[in-house]
Amino acid sequence: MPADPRWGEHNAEHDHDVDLDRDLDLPTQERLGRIALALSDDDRTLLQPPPGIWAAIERAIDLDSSAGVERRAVPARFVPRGRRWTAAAGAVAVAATALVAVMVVDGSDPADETVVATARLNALTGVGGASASLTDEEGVAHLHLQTEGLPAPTGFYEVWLLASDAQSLVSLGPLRQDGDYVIPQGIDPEAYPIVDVSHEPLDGDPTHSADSLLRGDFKRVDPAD
Amino acid sequence: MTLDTIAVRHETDDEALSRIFAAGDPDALRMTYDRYGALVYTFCRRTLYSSSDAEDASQQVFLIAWQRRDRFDPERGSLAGWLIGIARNIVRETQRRRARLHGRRDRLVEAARSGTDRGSMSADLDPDAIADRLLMADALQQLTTDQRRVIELAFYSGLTQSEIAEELDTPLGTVKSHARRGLARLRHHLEACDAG
Repeated sequence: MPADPRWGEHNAEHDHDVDLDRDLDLPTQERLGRIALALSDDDRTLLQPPPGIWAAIERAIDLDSSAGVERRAVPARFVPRGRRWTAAAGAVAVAATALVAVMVVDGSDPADETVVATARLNALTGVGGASASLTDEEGVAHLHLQTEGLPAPTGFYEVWLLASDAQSLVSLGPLRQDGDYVIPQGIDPEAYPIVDVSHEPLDGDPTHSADSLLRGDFKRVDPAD
Repeated sequence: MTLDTIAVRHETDDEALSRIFAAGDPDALRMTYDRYGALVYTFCRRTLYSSSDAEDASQQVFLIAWQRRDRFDPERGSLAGWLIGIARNIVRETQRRRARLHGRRDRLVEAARSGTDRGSMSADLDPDAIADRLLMADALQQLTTDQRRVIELAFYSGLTQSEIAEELDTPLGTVKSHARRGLARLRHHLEACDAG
């Protein structure tokens, strides 16, 4: 017998059964029945949330209580993404391979510029790509970043260096046309081995929006090469 | 610690959890996350194709729910329905933001990677339908064994109440009572308050 969510409705002999629940109208019963019949194994098997989510909620709540005021309802502005990055990197590998154009590191002025490390940035949301190099220019560390395929932002893009556990970060400022960023004095690039490009809304909030578009790890360039 | 808090600890009683949440008990948010974190995350993960979006959305759901807890009325709907109602709004907002940001290219990329990135995705991507089904699956779990048996015989086997009474060798009145209470609980569980 085909399952009929309408309880007893299909059988005229059981008309007295139809009013199984006077509190609950028939359309509601039918709706519940339809949803129940549509259940798949996916609906019965929940995915376990990554552990970082509760930590970020707790941090945001702590911030709220220490500030003593109700803050707007946004998560901690920058959440640890070590795990996320790994997962995202695997997940977008297919799209990224198709989209990321590997840019050749510009070594046009080799006399006073040594490439220390390079990075390829993956598209975390499937859009755009970039390559980066870290150079030593007479003792000053520079980041050179070439992006590609980023749509015109509704706010602006910002370039960041992240520690490997993504617990601390340094802004290198808004994305620049010339792609040249000076690493601030006192910042050891080795302590921030991840390059990140975020999309920032024009909300006056200088912190990371947690909306990262591109990210990649620096790989040290062997001086022997 | 209130009696309700203890009830939640020991029985995972959804109604007690709803009450302490609405009352702003300091332990309530953690318990609510323990109880519904997977439900909310699963909903976000299945409706947003980026895992980082899903994680951000899940965080926001609990933060917003906590900040607006005075608007939650346990009489009007379940805590699960309230959380998923908030999640639906956040997912819609995230989807709109993504669409604005990436335009059509977004859809092309999504089409190209479907099947690799969304292992657990069902064919049905409508957030409202996914919300209903996840809440229904959770609600069925909360029914008593008797209620669930009666409801499932009705839904999945299409039996009338008389036939169920016969099948289970139970008085019709008992079957009717299980059915009535079970259905009322299902409806209450699916009732999503307006998240505002």
